[in-house]
Amino acid sequence: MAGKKILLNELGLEQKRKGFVSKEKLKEIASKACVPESEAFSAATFYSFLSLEKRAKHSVLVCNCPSEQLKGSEKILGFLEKRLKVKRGNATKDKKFYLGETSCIGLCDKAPAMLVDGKPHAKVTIEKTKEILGKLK
Amino acid sequence: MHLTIDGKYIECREGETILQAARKNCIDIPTLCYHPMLEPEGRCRACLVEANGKIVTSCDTAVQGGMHIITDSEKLRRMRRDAVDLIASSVSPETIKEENELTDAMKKAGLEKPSFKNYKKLAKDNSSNAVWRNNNRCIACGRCVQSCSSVQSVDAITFAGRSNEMQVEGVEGEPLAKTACVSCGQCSLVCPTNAITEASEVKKVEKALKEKGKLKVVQIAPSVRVSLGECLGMEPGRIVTGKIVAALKKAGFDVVFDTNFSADLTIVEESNEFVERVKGGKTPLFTSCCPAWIDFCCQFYPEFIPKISTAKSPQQMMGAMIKTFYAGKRGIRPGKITSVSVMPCTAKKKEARLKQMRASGVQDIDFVLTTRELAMLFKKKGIGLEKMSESEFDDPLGESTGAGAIFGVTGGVMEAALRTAYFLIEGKELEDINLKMTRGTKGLKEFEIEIKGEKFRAAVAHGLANARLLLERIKKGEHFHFVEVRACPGGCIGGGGQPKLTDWGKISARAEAIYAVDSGKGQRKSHENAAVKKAYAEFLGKPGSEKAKGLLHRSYPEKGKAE
Amino acid sequence: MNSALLEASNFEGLKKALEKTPEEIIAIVKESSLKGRGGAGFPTGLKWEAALKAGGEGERFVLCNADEGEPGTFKDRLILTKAPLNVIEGILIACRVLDAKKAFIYLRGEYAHHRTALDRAIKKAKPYLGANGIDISVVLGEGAYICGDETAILNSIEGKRPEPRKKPPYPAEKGLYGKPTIVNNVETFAMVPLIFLGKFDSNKRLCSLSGDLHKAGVFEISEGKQAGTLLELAEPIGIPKALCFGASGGIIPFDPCMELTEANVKERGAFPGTWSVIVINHEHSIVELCRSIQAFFVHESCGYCAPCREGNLRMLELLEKISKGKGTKKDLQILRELSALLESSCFCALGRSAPLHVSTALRHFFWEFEEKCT
Repeated sequence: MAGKKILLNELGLEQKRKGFVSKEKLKEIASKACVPESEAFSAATFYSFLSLEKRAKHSVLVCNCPSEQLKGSEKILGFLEKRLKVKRGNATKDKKFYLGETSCIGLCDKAPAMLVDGKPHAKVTIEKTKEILGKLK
Repeated sequence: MHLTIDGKYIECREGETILQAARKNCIDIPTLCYHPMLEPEGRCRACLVEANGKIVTSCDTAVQGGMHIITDSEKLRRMRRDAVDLIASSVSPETIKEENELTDAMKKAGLEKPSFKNYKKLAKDNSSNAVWRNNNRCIACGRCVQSCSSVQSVDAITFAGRSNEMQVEGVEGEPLAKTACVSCGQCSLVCPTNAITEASEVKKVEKALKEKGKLKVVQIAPSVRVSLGECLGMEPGRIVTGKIVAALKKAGFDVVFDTNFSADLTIVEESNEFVERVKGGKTPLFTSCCPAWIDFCCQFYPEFIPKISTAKSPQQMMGAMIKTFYAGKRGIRPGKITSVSVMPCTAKKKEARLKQMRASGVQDIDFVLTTRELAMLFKKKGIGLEKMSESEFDDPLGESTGAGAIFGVTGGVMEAALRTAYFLIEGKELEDINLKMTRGTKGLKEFEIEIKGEKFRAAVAHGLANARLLLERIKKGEHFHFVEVRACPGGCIGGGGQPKLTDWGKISARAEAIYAVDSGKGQRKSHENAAVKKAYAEFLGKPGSEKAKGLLHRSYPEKGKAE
Repeated sequence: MNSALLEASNFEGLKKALEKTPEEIIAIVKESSLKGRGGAGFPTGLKWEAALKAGGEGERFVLCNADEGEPGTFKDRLILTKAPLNVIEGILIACRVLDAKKAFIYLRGEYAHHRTALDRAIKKAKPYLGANGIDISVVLGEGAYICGDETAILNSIEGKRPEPRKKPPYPAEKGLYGKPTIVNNVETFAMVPLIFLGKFDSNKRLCSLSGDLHKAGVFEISEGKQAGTLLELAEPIGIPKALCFGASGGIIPFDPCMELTEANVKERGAFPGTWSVIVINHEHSIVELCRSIQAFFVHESCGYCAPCREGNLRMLELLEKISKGKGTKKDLQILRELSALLESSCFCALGRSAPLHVSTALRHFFWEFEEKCT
């Protein structure tokens, strides 16, 4: 146990640093965490927030849980699709934005909500969405 | 301990599962992911039963005394049918048009065709020249992954992704050829839907058989003669040597040789090498007949590469002899021979294509068929094996001893080699040549044998996870003089190219048949093989000669798989 | 919100507990009737006792499940921000029971921004950690609902594919790295110090209210409170029609006079779980709600067992078809059959509870489905 790294934490840090986890890095992290490479790979492919390939620069994930849908998350998604000219589940051509849905992010009391580069935004409106997008370089 | 199944009073043992207890009593419960040689994982949920009023999977639920089990009720039948339906709906239509474990389960569940539309459109992975994968046929039963991981400790494939996007993939998403895969094919042996198969060469062989102006030569491995029958409806362990020879001739082969001959040749070369190594203090000697083991060692334990015998496998020795020695005898160029081998193995397919396996100047073995593929070829050609009369192997590469025969089973190479090595070192024959300590299904067999006053330590491992345990011990300083490793559980009789639905019972039946072949032979020591002696006298010189080295020995990469 | 359940213990509860032997602590927790607040409701005292009695040598672990992923649930988020110290105290008391030196808090990735509050609380508890040689590590999830399962979370921390494990053995006997492990939810741990202060009331718990409400949020409910009274506090938008218990608890008709007890919810075919209530008004379609929940399960199924992996997908296909007005009566029949299959045959609790929303909706709101079918 002593000195052993937690695989998931290390993968998460790398994802935050680089926006993805490369094969070489995955190998390195697996050995640091004393997890066989095959297991580490299998685990890494499981989580929604981890990516083994370079994704877009910014990720915009709109929460699609039932409470959010009741509060109009679909409208926000529709707006984003139009504004970014990309269908959900895809990255924009310039690889600047990835637009997707996410399962409940625990902000149902402040719906609709979204995660932008991992940061939560609650009670978003179309106006607020424009503002958030504007701040992303 | 007792329990009732469908009202029937049944005796059972502690630690048994409901499924095992039921099957022992001829009560059939459909299964899909369950495999008798693997740990139950409970993935498919097709084996549902009711135990004390609760729905459970019978494959991984232990029996309890006094348990009331229902396997046959309207509700259970419907649930099992629905479970099989969901699985059948997930595979490509071709998968459910052939006989396999899935279509068998469908039949048992009373399901004619799947209710939902198939949705998978995935790329095939034919990167390896031993094993092909087609995920459109995959039902995610997990057998292949468990086999690659727990049985073989290779971990070349694993599950990637989740939910209905979860797929079996090469580690790091690489095509199989670029992974640690050692080509053993155990994954293909356990796959219930042919999502993983051998890299098929049946069509190529069919085409080659029609080619005019070529001499078609074929060899069959020691273990094929005791397993092929199973693919064609015969009982496990049936010896069909003579029938295969006749059937191969009927299929269009001109000459049928016996890999048992070259197994004898291998033993002569390898025993000679062993004696040299003992003299030079360069033990342990690792056997080299299993190409999957070699790939394993070269990748995971490169420090032991110098310890592997340089003797080629029997397939490749035969390949070299056919296109040099035999070609010379017939007065034809090696290029005029089509050389096919029938092996229990998928790794032999890759071995035949290695760059250095061209002792004759051209590729020594042109095509390799697995036992399963030969059965397919016979079926396609309408050749009924059962009805064939018996024929003999052709000369001069058809004669063999009992020592060559036991190459097919775990411990057999060790036993055969010791029969000869004892003679070489001691100067006289073993009193009892039945070396029982090499036999049996135990994953790791260790023993000592005294030759000329010196004690030799030997170890036999089968299943690469067992080999790994042994190698770790050697790494820590334990010494053995002679080590046999076979990648597949049971040795070649449990090989990746053997009939599907292989279990330990069938492996044992095949082993018994192999030992019956051995004890039925007049000559049971490789150095007594008259044809081998003749080949040395006429062509090779003596064991370990320059010519023998050039034709019958090979080299290894410094690290990583041989290409 | 104000709730006795969120009152700071300021180490008083912990101090009292540390004076007791592990057996005494277990007896007190048992006495309190505290049940797990993560959804399954297993008696906490019994769980701890099982872990204490588990054989074997070596390490023991305590794990706080802060992977609050059930849609409509956010009460743990509130506890982690308002009373994180109580959670740490609860964890330390559990460590005392097992003589565990290592504890983990598995925080869902979506709550990463609450990590600072948690780290601060851990820092504050340092004297108690140091004195007993205990280390608490935070593990951040990376977006997987299944990690809320008490065995999947173990695999996740160990770096394995986060699939659930077969039970038994339970984590109390064979948990993290195969060692006895106490796994409890955030709210459960937060209640423990209150027990030792005599401030715990097993009749009260936190409830996340969301959906068609003006004032969605976390409310304290006591056993037997009427549904109408509770909803009044949250000021419904429009006329409430149905209550949906997260994604996995099922959908029941809103009845203002219904007393909110587990038995009453179960009687209607649903399961209250963490008491997350999503309120649906008359303007919203139950079919649409089911379709959306179903899409969630298709996304979150781990894929391990066939009925969950394939069945959820087929149920979504059917619900999409019905939602578009292209469904038939036969489709409803298939939907029902698939729900029954999943409920009794899936490998883990996720799979077995996934179809509950469909089976309850078909039971209570059948006409809404029928209306859309030909």
